Amino acid sequence: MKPQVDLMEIIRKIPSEIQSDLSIGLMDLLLVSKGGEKIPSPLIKELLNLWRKQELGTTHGLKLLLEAALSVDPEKAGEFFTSKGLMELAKDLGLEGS
Amino acid sequence: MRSFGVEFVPQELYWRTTFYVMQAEKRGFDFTWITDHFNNRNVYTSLGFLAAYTDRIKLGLGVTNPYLVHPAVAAQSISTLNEMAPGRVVLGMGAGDKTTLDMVGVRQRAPLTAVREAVEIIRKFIGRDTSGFDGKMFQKREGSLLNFKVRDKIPVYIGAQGPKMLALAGRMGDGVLINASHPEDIKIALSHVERGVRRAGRSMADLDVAAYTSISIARREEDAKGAVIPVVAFIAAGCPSRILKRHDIPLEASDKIKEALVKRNWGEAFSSVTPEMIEAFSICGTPKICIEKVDALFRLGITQFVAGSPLGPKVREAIDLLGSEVLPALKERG
Repeated sequence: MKPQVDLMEIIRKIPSEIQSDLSIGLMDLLLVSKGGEKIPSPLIKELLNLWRKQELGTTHGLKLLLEAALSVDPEKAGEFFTSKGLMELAKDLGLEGS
Repeated sequence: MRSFGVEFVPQELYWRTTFYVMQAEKRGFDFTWITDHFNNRNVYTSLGFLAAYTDRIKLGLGVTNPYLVHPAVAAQSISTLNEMAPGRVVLGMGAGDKTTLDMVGVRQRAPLTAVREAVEIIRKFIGRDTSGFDGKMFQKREGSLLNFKVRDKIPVYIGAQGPKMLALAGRMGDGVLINASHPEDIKIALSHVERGVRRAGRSMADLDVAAYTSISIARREEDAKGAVIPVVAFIAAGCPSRILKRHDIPLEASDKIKEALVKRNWGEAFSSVTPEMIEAFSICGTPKICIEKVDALFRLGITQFVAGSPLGPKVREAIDLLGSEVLPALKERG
């Protein structure tokens, strides 16, 4: 288990112009990763509600996507942020070296 | 009028299918068809969840069968579903998949009779018709009713591939789901549907004629082909000999794939798929190629194009490509 971190605090550091791309990338990760059944049902419903309202790219949407990605596959989430050049974010999440 | 559907096999987690259907709805699809096989996730519960997360897209069972689900239960289920998604429910009824039925020892007995009687009984239940029905396979006692009203019409589509089932669809379906991707197969299927239509004194305009295809779309043709090969392997292995012959595909080539699939030797099965098989059993390629191929089906007389599995190497991207490039071009041509 990674150390307790304030996800919202971390999300706020993400430049707004890349939030939408990041949300798509995280959603793609959730759609293909093994372990999708690990995401708690209330979180799934909230994500689907945001998807319905086109709000997955908001800071709140990103926070939930990140929460889901961390519960499914923290290693892949770390790789994803690193591939996007967000090494600092991966570090903040305790995912550096993933 | 051209309409567009997308098929999903609920092999995926329920929320992934829901995500894709919501995406399809946003991208302009009119129908989603969810397949019904006992070994996948249940179609009715899947559709119930979809009803809660969608607003416009029509929700279709694509398709159920009367062997595993009694027509009375099918009528009850779609009627309940209609309360969740009023006016958006569509029932697809077919003879089922023999291989899957075999797994649970259910014999696909008298498929034409089974489908015809099931459709009649279902229509009586959803239409609050108190009359009885004494069929060879299914019965309904006079006076039997669902204990709740169905306020909307629930169209019944018949899933068909063989000549007699296609003609039955023409005789009694509100729509037909033709299991084919190639213009030659669609053309021949349409002639059987028309035979049924004429026999019943109906017109082709009374039916929504859907081509239930297998499609794989990607920016690069090779990527699209890579994704469609496993699906084509299964289609080729289960294809009736008359259709293989129509496409000059040797029976031995189909048998070879079938044998490899039975042994779960995927490598051998998939490497035995030929370009001719891909051409015959799928719509595969870049958006430009797919537009031309689907347009050719519309020009033959279909009224709905159903994009079926695998959709593409990446499902989300495939839905985006279909919605942003293929559907608008085809709607414009319609």
